[in-house]
Amino acid sequence: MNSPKVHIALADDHRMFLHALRALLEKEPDIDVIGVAGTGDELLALVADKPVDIACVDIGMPAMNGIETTRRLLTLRPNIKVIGLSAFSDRQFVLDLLNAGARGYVTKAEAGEELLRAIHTVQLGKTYLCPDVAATVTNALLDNTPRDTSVPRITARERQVLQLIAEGHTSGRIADRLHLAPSTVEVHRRNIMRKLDLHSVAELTKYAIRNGITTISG
Amino acid sequence: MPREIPDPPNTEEVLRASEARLHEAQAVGRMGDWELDRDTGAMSWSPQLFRLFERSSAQGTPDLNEALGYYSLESVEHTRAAFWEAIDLGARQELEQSVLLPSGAQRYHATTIVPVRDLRGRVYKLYGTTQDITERKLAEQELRRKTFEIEDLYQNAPCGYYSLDADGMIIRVNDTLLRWLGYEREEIVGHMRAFELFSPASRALFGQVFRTFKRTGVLRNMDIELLRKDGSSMQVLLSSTAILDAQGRFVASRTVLSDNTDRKRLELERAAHATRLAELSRHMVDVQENERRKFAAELHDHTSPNLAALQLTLANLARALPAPVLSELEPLLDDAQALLLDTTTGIRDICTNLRPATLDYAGLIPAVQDYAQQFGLRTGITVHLDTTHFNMQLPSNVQSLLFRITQEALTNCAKHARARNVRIHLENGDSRLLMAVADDGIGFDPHQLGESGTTPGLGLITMKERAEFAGGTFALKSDPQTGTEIRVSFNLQAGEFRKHPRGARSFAHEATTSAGPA
Repeated sequence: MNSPKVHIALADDHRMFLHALRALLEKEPDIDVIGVAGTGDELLALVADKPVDIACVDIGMPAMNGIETTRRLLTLRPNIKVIGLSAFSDRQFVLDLLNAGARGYVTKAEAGEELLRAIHTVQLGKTYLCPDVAATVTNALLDNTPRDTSVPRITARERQVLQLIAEGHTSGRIADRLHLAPSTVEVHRRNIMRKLDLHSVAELTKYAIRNGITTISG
Repeated sequence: MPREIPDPPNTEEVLRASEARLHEAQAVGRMGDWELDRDTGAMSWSPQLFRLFERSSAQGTPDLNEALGYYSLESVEHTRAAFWEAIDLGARQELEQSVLLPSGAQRYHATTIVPVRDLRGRVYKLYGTTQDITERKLAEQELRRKTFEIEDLYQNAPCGYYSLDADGMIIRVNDTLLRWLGYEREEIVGHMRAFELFSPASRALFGQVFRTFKRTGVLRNMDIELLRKDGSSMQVLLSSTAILDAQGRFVASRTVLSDNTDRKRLELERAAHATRLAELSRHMVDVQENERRKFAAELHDHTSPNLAALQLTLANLARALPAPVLSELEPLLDDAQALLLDTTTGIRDICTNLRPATLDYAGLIPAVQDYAQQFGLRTGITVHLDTTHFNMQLPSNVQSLLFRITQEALTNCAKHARARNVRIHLENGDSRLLMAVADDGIGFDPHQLGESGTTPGLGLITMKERAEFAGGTFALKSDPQTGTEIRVSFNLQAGEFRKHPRGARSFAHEATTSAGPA
């Protein structure tokens, strides 16, 4: 991306998370984290002083929650784009945050890759919901703002496991092959099914063949 | 008795026959007659008299002194006195005596003593009759004993008795009731009407009933509160029967009062226990919901963000690695990320089951919507939610209750019902709130509820109890044709339903944690 650096402010009452997130974002060449805040009030003070393009706001902050913070922030600086960050993926939180004017919503569990994706998407003037949340709001009627929900992505390790499942191997065999604990293989299998919204080995196999993860070998 | 009267020779037989009849009559009547000559003290006895005193004719007729020897100690003196009075005063005497016979038997005699005067008016002779009255005497004693027993029973029975005349005036009362009330008999009988002994509430009740009672003549087990003379009260159970005359007019009543204080106290205690139990159960449910809320908030506020931070830290770590090392380690980092993701998802499921954040944040409907959607995705059962006629704000305990019932009903439905559709219907009017959850499954026999592990059991029973403790009613209907339906309803006019203005949404943990900004 060749655009000028995006100025980002972060607000979260969880210090460890805040710092890990800041470290992650600062590695990005096109992102400049210009400040972090522990509360909604601190964030409002921050954006009053510095130019901010995007604010990533934790929904569950004590005192002033993320939804109220978003509402006030946008009254103050309507051009800032807000991305909600939350441990919650409950539909009502997402809807209320979007109604308060936010442009993106990412669960903290997906705060790495997905947050970067959200930042780049809202920067282009679109709305972004991480896959986890997109699923829970599909039934809800939103405004017609164009939004982008990405294809679920699986890791290299998950690809390996999926291939072996599709080829008919048991968890025990897969564990031996990959030098993993069988319980870790089970974890991968659960995550894959959840990410791809698939519910049986047959569906997993079909998906693996369609997406070229395995070839029918008999 | 040979008498010195010259009889015509042809009358002698007649006389003898008449004497025989007299003896026979005396034998039947157990009666004898005698004469006493005042001057000589000599007596003459009729044959029957010998038998009454178990004396053989061989022993001869006794004189007065010897005759007095037959009487028992308590009778001998007044018998002697009676003889002297008859002689000295010329007055006829009638007396009863106790006699000790030679055989040892005790008998009772009634003796009549008649003085006979000469021309100068002097008593020169006594005659009289003696009758064995033992049977009558014993019967009298028995009657007295019985009468005493009955009287004692009436007076000292373990219940109170009184009788009323047609005006309600007390005409008779027993000692027990007097003891209970602390009155003297004279203060009550003929002076007080029954209702004056009652508390005001009982008075009103009695007033209504007494008129009917005078006509029907029966009154059973009426709860009455009596007032003692000292103003304290006691609980009794009152029953009455009426005495009516030949025309069916009320003459008097017979009333029995039994002490009901203990039973009444037990009733009150039982009621108090039930109330306490309901309070405790409500409290327990509140405590349970609060604990769940706290636990869920703790997981949300600390555990989940910690895991998220850990995941970001791992990502940062990966980026810090030189490319050759990264490509070697990437599968292991993926494993770590996978474990974190699975743990995070697991915690989110636990939180939702413990207490969905939406329930506290946005209320029942959004919480049920979300839960129903998740449920549908998980089970393939279609959930229809109808809230068209629902427009009120519920107290938080009722929200929790209805959410838990929905959860339980849907869980049962997935486990047992083999249903394809579930309808959740929620509506309220001005006076009633109703929630119904109905499925189109195979149903079950509600009578076997909780009897085996394969039918919905404990969960439904718990739901019923919770609904009832919260003041609602719970109904369950199930059959193979129409499936299972549960209905929970609340009377909105009662108790805790006051319509609140719709409050601002807030997060559960704001109320339970006091963590300041990081």
